Amino acid sequence: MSMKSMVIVLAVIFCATTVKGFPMFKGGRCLCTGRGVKAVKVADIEKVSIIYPTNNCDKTEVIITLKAHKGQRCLNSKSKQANVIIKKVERMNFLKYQNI
Amino acid sequence: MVLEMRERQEFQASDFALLLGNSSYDYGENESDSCCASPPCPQDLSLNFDRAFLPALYSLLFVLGLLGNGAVAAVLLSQRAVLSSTDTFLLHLALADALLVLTLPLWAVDAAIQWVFGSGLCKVASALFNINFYAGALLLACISFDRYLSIVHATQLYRRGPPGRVVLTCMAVWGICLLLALPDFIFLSAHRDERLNATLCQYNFPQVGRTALRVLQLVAGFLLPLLVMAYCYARILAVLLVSRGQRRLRAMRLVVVVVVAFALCWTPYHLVVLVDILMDLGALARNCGRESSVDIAKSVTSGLGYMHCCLNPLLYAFVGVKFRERMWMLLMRLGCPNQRCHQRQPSAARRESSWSETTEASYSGL
Repeated sequence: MSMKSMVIVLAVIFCATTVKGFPMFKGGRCLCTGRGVKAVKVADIEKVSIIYPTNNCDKTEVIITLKAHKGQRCLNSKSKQANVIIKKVERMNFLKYQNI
Repeated sequence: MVLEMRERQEFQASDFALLLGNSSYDYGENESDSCCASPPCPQDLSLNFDRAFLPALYSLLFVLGLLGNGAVAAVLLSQRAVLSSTDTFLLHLALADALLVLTLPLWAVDAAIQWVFGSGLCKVASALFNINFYAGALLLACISFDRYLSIVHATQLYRRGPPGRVVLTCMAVWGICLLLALPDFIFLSAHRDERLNATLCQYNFPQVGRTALRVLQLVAGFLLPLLVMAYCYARILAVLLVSRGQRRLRAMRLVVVVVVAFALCWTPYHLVVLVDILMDLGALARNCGRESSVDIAKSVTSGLGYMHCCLNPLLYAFVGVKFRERMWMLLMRLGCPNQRCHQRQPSAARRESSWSETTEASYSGL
């Protein structure tokens, strides 16, 4: 009775473990924990980083560095502002490649 | 180059001014609604820990593992002609453990700096690591099955049969491990990870087959050996408990030690990974502090798991008295190459029996 349940618990744990693999093959976790802010003041933006999904984090993350050492913010990637930023960045990127 | 650009894109405000400045999306006061709750997680703490801890641990395991398993292999090989079936499995186990440990210096450099060896070596080193991990588990299962047959059913599958049978079993084990590691060989490569800001040896699985492959690897490479071991040793213990004999206690102690060592080495790691998966699923709220402690715990407990490779020679071979004797004789022969030095030769009776405690233990139940 308890033997059987113990075997099942062990099986579940080991299943879970293998899905994750060994720590040597780890990748970076998602950087943003919450949903992120909906928007930031455009005037405050110093730098924008867009990080695309990988095997270890299947979200697109938009991280904004604020001016005057106010730190970094995760921008909710589904928000309107994030969409605008992502679109503009992609367009800018496209133009950049055309110039080169 | 194009691929790399897809991973992360950064733009300075000056690039943006033109594009966003005249747009109508100026949210001004909106910022306050969830402000301050959303800084990205710094991953420095666990990365710095790994940078110091893992290279030291891997170097230690490298030295211990090579010495221990090398000694076992040397002793067993010097007695090649009279190896019992368990001894042959032990020889292959020592080989698997030594090969696994051999890749550790590469992972030490990886943890200290980043993966600097390129995709080719990433595939080879990972495949070698995984093959030998599976081989270790499967060979432990073979050993337990061999003992189970001889104690519980009093048949000796390998001793009665043609001598090639053990070697054939070992070849099958290596073949299975090779197959299990094939996906690793295909899907691992050196990648730039933008979130960790380093090049790493990582999986690049297609989204669809990832879980299926993992489960297959798990069942064939880990769960099956574990269940075989648990079943065989439970039956062996049951027989030993009702049997009488002088060596009964010693044999029982060995069985218990083997199982407990395996459980002690691997359970903490699996528990930590379980917490990690609960966080992935959202059952536990994500939080930066918790994540970095999970990462650190994972590094520590995986080290404990790899330590099992260094424990195998101690548990399976050095516990045996005859094995230790043989080892000293080998060392003495190394010390003085001329034949006069060693007068003590193993008696004919000893030659017949196994060099390891493991098979000796299996006679005690009869």
